[in-house]
Amino acid sequence: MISLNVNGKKYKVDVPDDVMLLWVLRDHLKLTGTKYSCGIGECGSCTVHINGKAERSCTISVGQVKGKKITTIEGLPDSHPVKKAWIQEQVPQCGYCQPGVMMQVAALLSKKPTPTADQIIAEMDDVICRCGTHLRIKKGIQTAVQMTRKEGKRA
Amino acid sequence: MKTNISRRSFLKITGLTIAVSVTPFGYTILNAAEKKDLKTFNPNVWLHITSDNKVTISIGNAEMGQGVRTAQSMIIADELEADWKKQVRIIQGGAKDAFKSPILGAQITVASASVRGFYEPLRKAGAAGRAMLVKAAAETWNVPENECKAVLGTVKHEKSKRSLTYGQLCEKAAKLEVPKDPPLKKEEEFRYMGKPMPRVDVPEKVSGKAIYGLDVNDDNVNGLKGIHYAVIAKPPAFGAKPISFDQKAAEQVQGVVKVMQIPQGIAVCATSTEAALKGRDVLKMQWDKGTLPDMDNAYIEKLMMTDLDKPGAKVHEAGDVKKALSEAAKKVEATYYVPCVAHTTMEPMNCTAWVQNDRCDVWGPYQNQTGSLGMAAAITKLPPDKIHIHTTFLGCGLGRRAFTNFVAEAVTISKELGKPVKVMWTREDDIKYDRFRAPYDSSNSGWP
Repeated sequence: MISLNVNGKKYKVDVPDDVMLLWVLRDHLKLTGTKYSCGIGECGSCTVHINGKAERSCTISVGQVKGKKITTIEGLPDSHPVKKAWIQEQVPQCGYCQPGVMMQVAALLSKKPTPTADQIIAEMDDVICRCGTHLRIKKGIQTAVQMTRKEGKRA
Repeated sequence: MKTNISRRSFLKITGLTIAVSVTPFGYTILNAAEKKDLKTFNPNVWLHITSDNKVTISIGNAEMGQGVRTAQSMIIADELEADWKKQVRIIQGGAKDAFKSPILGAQITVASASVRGFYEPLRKAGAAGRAMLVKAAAETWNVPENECKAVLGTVKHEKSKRSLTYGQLCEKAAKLEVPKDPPLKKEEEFRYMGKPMPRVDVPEKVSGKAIYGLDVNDDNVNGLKGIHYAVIAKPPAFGAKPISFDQKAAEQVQGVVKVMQIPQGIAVCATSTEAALKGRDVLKMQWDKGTLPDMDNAYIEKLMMTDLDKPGAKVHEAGDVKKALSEAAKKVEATYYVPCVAHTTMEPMNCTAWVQNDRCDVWGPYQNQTGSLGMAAAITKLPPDKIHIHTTFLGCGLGRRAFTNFVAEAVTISKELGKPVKVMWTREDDIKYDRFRAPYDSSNSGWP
């Protein structure tokens, strides 16, 4: 039995230590917002927060995250500036990559609430969207930054 | 995920339902309450108004980010003069004749044909509903129809300051005949069409709750219980057949339930994705050489480049090209080669099927409902009305999901296993076994 802390809830799962966190989240905990796409940590669709840092859940085994704080797209509150900005700017098309994209952005904004254009590109460069929503992702980030500023608190 | 309404549950619902009959010669808008149509009612429902004043719109095309759920619903809601924010509910329809594209002849979402193909019939369906509701109001008040006007889900009679909601009128309207050629709105009367509207699928995609094919599980789908997971070991060359594989090793992996040979390869079925993957890893597959053992990118490129030097068919000839080229002050030459390219949808191919004695349910991200239904019917030998095609969101379509080979796998495995099963292609499977875009080469010469 492995104890996990996901989205502020405690879970016990009966899986071997070497199972990837992605499958545990998706199949065992039924948190299907985190997506499988490449399976080798290259595309970013499976991005979650581990102790606040954006990580690829398809290449991290469940044994590596015992006792750590895991946040998935379902754990990002609806009032989060990234989620609000994503709706306002109508960012998703097919939407499959977007939970990972949003988790990557949320982690960026928590470190750097007003990122420069270069910092945005550096952080988002290895997150793939096959529909090509990149311009709207950029716009969504700008809107989320503005919302955070207005609210006067960090994202 | 909402599934389509069964005939039985439909019959219990009261209200106004606009259905449609599509034949090779065109389509007819029907009032589903007309008895003669009910007998053959499938149910081919596009739009349903209920006494709770809600308008339910069924969409038959696949949503893959192109916005079809929003666009087609806007067309119906506009002509119906429904209140988009307060009244309209949109559900994904099943595989039905009514959803066959009038221009493509099948329920398939390709070729940018969803709005272009359905624009007129969807407008007429909405307009027919509006005309019937107005008529029902006029009859209720005993006033001329042309004194009544539909405004945002309500029919109003200005003179007497009376009004009735669509919900209040729907049962009466259901008893009326469908107008053959209902008057359509003028362009300046459009409320939603031609205007930027927020996409209806965006909020659930942002929340992470949107269900794609790969997300289907016992918790988020009505009627699914005991889902299993399968991956398939597939041949390394065209036509290659398995010589041997270590079935026992795979079956010894904890969670693996069954290893079976199917026409597509060796399927490993398990109670979890990770067990299925592990089981496949230890199969120690040995394949024969197949029909084209040398076929790979290099082989195809070499073949095509060699062919480039051979004389081809002449399509057009004018003037003396050889002479002009030899006399040109500057000559430009270029050879292009574009290899096979995989679609690489963000969501790899997958499909969930549950074949039971008397029914077959299939859940998946398909662009081709007609083809999926046909595929499931051919494999299960069940009549089409026992097959229920549930379309999830698509994590990219790109034309790849118009092919139905992933549907065949899930149905075949579930039939053999006797349990619901989700077949997943890994990213590597998805790229290796894609229906590739055809390679291309050309040799070009000319003068500037």
